[in-house]
Amino acid sequence: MLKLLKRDLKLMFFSNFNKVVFLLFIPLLFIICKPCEQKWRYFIIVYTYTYTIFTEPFLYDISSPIVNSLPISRKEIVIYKYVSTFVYFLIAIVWTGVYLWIINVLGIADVDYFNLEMIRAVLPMILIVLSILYLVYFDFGSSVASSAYAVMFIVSFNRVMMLGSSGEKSLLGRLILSGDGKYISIMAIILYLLSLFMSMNLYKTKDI
Amino acid sequence: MNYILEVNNLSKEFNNFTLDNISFRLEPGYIMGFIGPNGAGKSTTIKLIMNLINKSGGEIKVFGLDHIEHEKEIKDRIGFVYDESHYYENLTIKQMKSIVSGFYSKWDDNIFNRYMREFNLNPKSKIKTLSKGMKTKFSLAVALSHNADLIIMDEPTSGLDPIFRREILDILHNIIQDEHKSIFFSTHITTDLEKVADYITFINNGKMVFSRPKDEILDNYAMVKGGTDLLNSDTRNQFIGLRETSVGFEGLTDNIDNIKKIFKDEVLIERATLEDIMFYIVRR
Repeated sequence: MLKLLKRDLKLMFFSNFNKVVFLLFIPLLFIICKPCEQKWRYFIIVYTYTYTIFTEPFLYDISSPIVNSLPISRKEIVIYKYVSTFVYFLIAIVWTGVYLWIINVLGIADVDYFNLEMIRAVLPMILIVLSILYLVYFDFGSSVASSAYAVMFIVSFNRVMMLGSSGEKSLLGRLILSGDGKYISIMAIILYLLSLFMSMNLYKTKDI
Repeated sequence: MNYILEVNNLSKEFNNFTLDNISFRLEPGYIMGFIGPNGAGKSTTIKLIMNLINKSGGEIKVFGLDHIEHEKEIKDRIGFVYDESHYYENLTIKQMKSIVSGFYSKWDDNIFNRYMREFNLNPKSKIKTLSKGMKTKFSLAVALSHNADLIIMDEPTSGLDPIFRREILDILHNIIQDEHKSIFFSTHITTDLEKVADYITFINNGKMVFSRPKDEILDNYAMVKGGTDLLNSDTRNQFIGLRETSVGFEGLTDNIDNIKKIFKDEVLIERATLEDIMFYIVRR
C-alpha cells in the first residue's frame, strides 16, 4: 500500500495545477472570503487541500486501468483508497498549519494555523463526500464516477463557501456542530465503513 | 510438465458474447501467438489472464499458480503491454517510469535506460506527445525492465511501421533465448508470427480452433490452386474453404495426401500461410 501512497504523492507533486492551488488558494480565499470567520476559513482551507490531494490520483484512476495490471491486489487497492483519505487529511493539516503560521509570523494577517474544533468538524464532511465518491468509483466504473466527481465538486464547494460566510447560521454549520459534532462524526464513520465494505465486496468481482 | 501459462476450459459470458471453453498451454522458453479475427475474444482472454475481468468458468494458472489467489506474485513476474497506451498522458516518460518502477520487486533502471536509448525515447517527453509507435516502445520498455518471466502483449505491433515491428520481433526472439522466459502475444499481423512464434493459438467467435506448434500447423495445411472444372460436390468436401473465380479456384485443405491422390498433377499445391489458414477457417 505504501507503493500506492508513493504514487499518489508523486502525482500530486508532478501536477502544476496542484502546485498553483497549494500556493495561491489561501491568498485567494483571503480576498474572496474577507468577511469569513477565522475558524470557518480554516475549515474551507483544510477541506479544499484534502479534496485537491484526493483529486489527482482519483482522476488518473478513473481515466486509466494501469494500476490493475501492476502487482497489487484488488483488496489492497480498495483498502488503500479508504486509508489514504486520512493521509491526505494529515498532509492538508500540516501544509495549512505551516502556510498560515508563516502568514502569522510575517504579520500579514492574524490567522488560526491550528484549530482542533474545525479539524473535528471538517473530517466528517470529507469522509461523507469520499465515501460516496469511492463507492461510485469502485462499483459503477469510471464514467459514472467522473460525473459524480463533477457534481460533488460543484455541490460541496458551494456548500463549503456558504459555510464560510454564514458559519453556524447556515444549515450545514448547525449540522456539523450539533451535539458538539458527535452526531455527524458517528454518521460519517458508519457511512465510510459501510462504503468500504461494499466496495471491497463488489470490486472483488468487478470487470475493469 | 511445468507450464508458464496454463488456461483450461476458460469461459466468460457477456450479454452479447461468450468466450467458450478456451484451453492452451505455454511452456517456458517459447513464444505463443494468439490469433483470431476482430471480436474473436483475444483481448477478453488476455484481460482474464491479467484478472482485469472476472471469469465465468475454467482455470488459469500462471507459473503453476492460480491467477487470482497469487495475483500479486504473478503480476510481479509479468510484463504486460496493453493494446493501447494506458499510461498517464500528462506525465513525462521519466515521471511515469518513477511511478511504475516502484511496484516491481526486480525493476532494473539500467535495462530501462538501455531500452530508452535503443528506442530513441526522450525521458523528458510527455506521454501525450508520443506517437502510437513511441507509446508502444515505452510500454515495451516498461514491460521488459523488471525481469519478467512472462511477457503478455495485446496487439503490440499493430499500427507500427515494418522496421520497428522487425526490431520488436528481434527483441522478443532475444528474450526467449533465456529458456525460462516466455511470450504470449495477440496480433492480426500473422506474418510477424511466422517469423518468431513457436506455437499458435487460434480462436474464432469465442471458441477454440486450435492450439498447436506453428510448424505442425504449417505442415498440416496447404493451399491448392486449379481449374474450376476439377470441382464437384465430392472434391469440394476436401477443402476447408474455397475461393472461386472465372479462371480457377484456390482452396485451403488439411488433407494434403487425399488432394494429391484425387487431383494428381492437375493442381498446384503450395504451403499455406497463417493468414490463409485464418481467412478460410473464419470464412467457413
